[in-house]
Amino acid sequence: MASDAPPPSSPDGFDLLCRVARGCVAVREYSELTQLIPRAAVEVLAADLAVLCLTDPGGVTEVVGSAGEASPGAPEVGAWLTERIREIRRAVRLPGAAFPGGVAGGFLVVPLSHGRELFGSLGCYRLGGPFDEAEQAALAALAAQAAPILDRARRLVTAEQQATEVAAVQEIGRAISSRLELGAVLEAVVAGAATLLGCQHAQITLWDESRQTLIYGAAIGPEAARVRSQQFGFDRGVNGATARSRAPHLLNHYQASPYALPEYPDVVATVTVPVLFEERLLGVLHSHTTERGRRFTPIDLRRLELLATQAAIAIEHARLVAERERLAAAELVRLRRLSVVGAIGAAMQGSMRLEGLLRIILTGVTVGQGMGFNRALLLLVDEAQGLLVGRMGVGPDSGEEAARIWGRLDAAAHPLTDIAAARQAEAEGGEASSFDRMARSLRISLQPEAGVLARTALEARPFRVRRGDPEWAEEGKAWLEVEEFASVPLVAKGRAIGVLVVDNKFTGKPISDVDLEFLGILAQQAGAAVESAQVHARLEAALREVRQSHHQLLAQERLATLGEMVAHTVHEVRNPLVAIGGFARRLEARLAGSKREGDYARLIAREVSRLEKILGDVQLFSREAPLRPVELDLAGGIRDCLDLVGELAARQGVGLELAMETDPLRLRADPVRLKQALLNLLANALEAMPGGGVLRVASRRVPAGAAGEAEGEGSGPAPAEGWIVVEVIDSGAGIDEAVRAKLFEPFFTTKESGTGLGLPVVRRIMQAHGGRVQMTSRPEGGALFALWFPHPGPREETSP
Amino acid sequence: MRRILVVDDEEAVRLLYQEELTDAGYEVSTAAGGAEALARIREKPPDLITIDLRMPGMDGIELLGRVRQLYRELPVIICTAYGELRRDFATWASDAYLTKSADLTELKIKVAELLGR
Repeated sequence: MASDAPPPSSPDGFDLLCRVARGCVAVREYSELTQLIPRAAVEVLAADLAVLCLTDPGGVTEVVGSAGEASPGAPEVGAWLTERIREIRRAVRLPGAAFPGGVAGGFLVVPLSHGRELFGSLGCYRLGGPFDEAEQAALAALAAQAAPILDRARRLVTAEQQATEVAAVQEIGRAISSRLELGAVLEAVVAGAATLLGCQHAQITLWDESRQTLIYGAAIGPEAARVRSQQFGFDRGVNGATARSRAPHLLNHYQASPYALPEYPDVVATVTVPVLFEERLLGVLHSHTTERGRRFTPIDLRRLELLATQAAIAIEHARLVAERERLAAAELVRLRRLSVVGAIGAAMQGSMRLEGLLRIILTGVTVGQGMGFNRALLLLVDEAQGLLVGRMGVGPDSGEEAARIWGRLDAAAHPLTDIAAARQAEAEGGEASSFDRMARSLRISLQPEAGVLARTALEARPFRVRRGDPEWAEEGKAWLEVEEFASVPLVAKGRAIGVLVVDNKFTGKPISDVDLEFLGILAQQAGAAVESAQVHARLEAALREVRQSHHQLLAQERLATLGEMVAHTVHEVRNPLVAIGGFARRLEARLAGSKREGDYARLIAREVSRLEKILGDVQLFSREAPLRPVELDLAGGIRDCLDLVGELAARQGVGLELAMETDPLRLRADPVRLKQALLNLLANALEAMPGGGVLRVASRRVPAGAAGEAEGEGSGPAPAEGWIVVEVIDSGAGIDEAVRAKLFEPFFTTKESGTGLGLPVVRRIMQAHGGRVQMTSRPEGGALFALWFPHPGPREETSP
Repeated sequence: MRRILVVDDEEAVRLLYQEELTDAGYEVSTAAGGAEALARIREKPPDLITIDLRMPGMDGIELLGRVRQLYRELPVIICTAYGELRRDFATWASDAYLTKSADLTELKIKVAELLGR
C-alpha cells in the first residue's frame, strides 16, 4: 500500500485515516467500499456532499457512491453538484462562485490513481465555506489509501462479472445450440437475452433479404404480444437503424433519442445489436427496460453481442437443417411421384386394354396420402360426336370412406398395379362408387362455352379453378361440389385426346404449382399411353375385319372358282352333247324302220336331253344374270314352249290343251326366263304322266286381292293391276303332302336322277319378276302349278 | 331358197347344223371361224347367220360387230354354249340368243321366224 501523500498533520486526521484503512481492509465488497469512502470523506471534512467517481477502461466516468446531501429537500441541487464533481477529474479546490451560475460554499476534488493510471476522483462540497489546504491534503491521503483497495476490488468484481458473463453466455449458447428448429432457437435466444441483461423484455427480428425488411422472430416479456402483432414492421426506430448500419446501439435515454417511437412511451433504455453470420445480416437482437433509473452498461452491450454471435450460428444451423429437411421431403415427394409416372409407363407396356390403363392412371394420381389427390376422373374426346365423354372416376364417396380407404392402403405399401387390379375387381363386381358412376355419365360438348373442361381440351392447357374464379361456376358447383379443382389435358400427337380432373374434396389441401407440374408430366405420359391403347384397339379391330374379309374373300374365290369351273365345264360339255344328241336324233329319224336301232337312237337323244336340262339348271343357279324384261305376248311364249315339248308329249301319249282366257295377254317378262320356267313345269308335268294323260296350259287375268294371291312361293307386293296367271295342269298321280313341303327346296328330288333344281329355279325366276309360283293338288288327281306374273299395267311402247 | 351360214369352231356342230337345216329346206354353208365367215359372207351373202361365241382367233363377238357394220339388216342368231352372256347381247347385238342344244327345234323356229319377217 504505497502512498505518495504525506501523512496528515492533525491527530484526528491520522486517527480517521487508520480507521478508514482498517475499514477498507475489513471490507471487501465493492459496493460497501463505494459507500464507505464518501462517508468517510464527509466525516473527515465535515462536508455536505461527497461523491466517488470511477472511470472504466472504456473512458466512461460514473458515480459509484455518494454520501450526504447538498441541500435537504433539493435533490436536484445535489444532482447538479454531483455532475460537476464528476466532470472534474483532477485535483481542484475551488470556491463555489467560480462555477457559472454561482453557488455558495466550496468544492474539493482529488484524483484517484493507481500507479500512473487515473481511474477516478473523489469530490466534496461544503455549503458552509471553501476548503483549505490541510483539508485537501487529508482528502488526498484518504484517496491514496482507498485507491489501491478500490482498484483491486473493482478488478475482482470485473473478473467475477466477466466469468459470470461468459458462463451465462455459454449456458445460453448451449441451450440455443441444442435446438435445431428455428422457432425454438429464437425463443431460446430471447429468453437468454432477458436473463443475461436482467430485463423483462427481449426480442429478435429476422432480416428478409428479398424484401429488404425486418420480420418478427421471437419476443419475451409483457409486451411480447404487441411486438408479435406489430403492424408497422420493425424498420423504423432503433431496430431498423441497427439493421441498416449493422452497428450496435445503446440508448440510455431512449425517449430523448432520435429513434424513440411513440408506441413505446414507457421505454427508458434500450440495447440493440445486429446478428451477423460471416458478414451476412441475419437479424437484430434487442432488449429494453421500462425500469426508471435503470441504465445499460457497456458490459451489457458486450454480453448481448456475445449472445448475438451464438444466436447467429444457431440460427444459421437451424436454417440449414430446415432447408435440408425441406429438400429431403421434396425429394421424397418427387421420387414418389416419379415412381407413379414410372409405374404408369410400365403399365403401358403391360396393359393395352383401355379400361385397365385408365384405372391405373387414376389410381396412380389418387393413391398415397398427402401426395395423391382425393379424387380423379378421366374424360376422353369423341371427335365424331364433338363430345368429351366421361370414362372413369376414382375416389371415395364420403369423408369416412376416404379415411377408411387411405388408412388401409398406407398400412402396407402395395405396388400400383396391385391396387389398380384390386379396384378393377371391385368395379367389375358391381361395387363401382357413385363418383365413378357420375363420371361415366358425363357428356360435355366440345364448345368453349361448355365450361372449363371443354376449354382444357380445346386449348390443350391446364386449368386450376377455385371458388370465386369465373370458370368455377359450372363444374365446381354443379357436379364436382368442391372448392378447388384442376384439369389437365392428355395430349398425344399435338392434340388433346382427353382430360384429367382432380380435386381434394375431403382433405381440402390446396393444389400447388408443384402439384400442377406433376399432373402435367403425368398427363403427357397418360396421353401417350391412352393413344397407344386406342390405336392398339383400332388395329385389333381392323385386323379382325381384315381376317374376316380374307376368309370371305377366300370363300368367295372358292365359290367364284367353282362357279367358273361350273360355267367352263358346262360350256365344255354342251358342245359334245349337241353333237351326240343331235346326231342321235338324226339317226332316230333314219332308223324309223328298225325298231331296236331306232329305240337306241331315241334313248341316246333322250338322255342327252336330260343332260342338257341338268346343265341348264346348274348354269342358272351358278351364275345369275339379271332379268331383261320386255313386253311380250304371252300366247306366243306358251306356244313356243308347247312346240318344244310337243314331240315328247306325243310320244308319251299326253294330249296337249291350251286355254287362254283373254287373247292377247300382254306380259312384261324376260322371255328366256319365262320359257325356262314354263319348260320346267311342262317337263315335270310330262314326267308325272309316263303312261299318258292330259297336259293343259291355261292363262287368265286375275284382279288384285283375289283369293290365293298370298299363297305360294315368291314375294313382293301385290301389283295394283292384278296378275296374269299361267297354269300348267297335269293328270298324273299328284304330289304327297310330305313331298309338297319340300318341293321348292334346292336339290330336293324324288326322281332317281336329276338335280332337283327345277322348281327352285322356277321360284327364283318368279321372284325376279315380282311374281310367285303356286302348287295345288287337284281333287280329281294330278297337280296344278301356277305362275303368277304381275300385270304390267297400261301398255307402254318398248323396243323388243 | 334361203341361205344360212353356220359359224362354229366345232366340226361336229357344224355338220349337225348343216344336216338339220338342209333337211329343213335351206341352203347351208359353214365357217370354222370369224375370218372364214367374213370371207364366205363376201363371196355369197347369206340370208341368216348363226354364230358361236367362243371361237379361237376372231371370236363371235368381234365377228358379230364386223357383220353388223357390213350388213345392218342381216339376221344373226347367237348360238352358244354360254348362258351368262345373255344379258349383254340378247337385246342389242343379235336378233336371237340361243343356248346350244341337241334339240334344234328352237333354232329352227327362230330361223323360220327371222326369215319369215
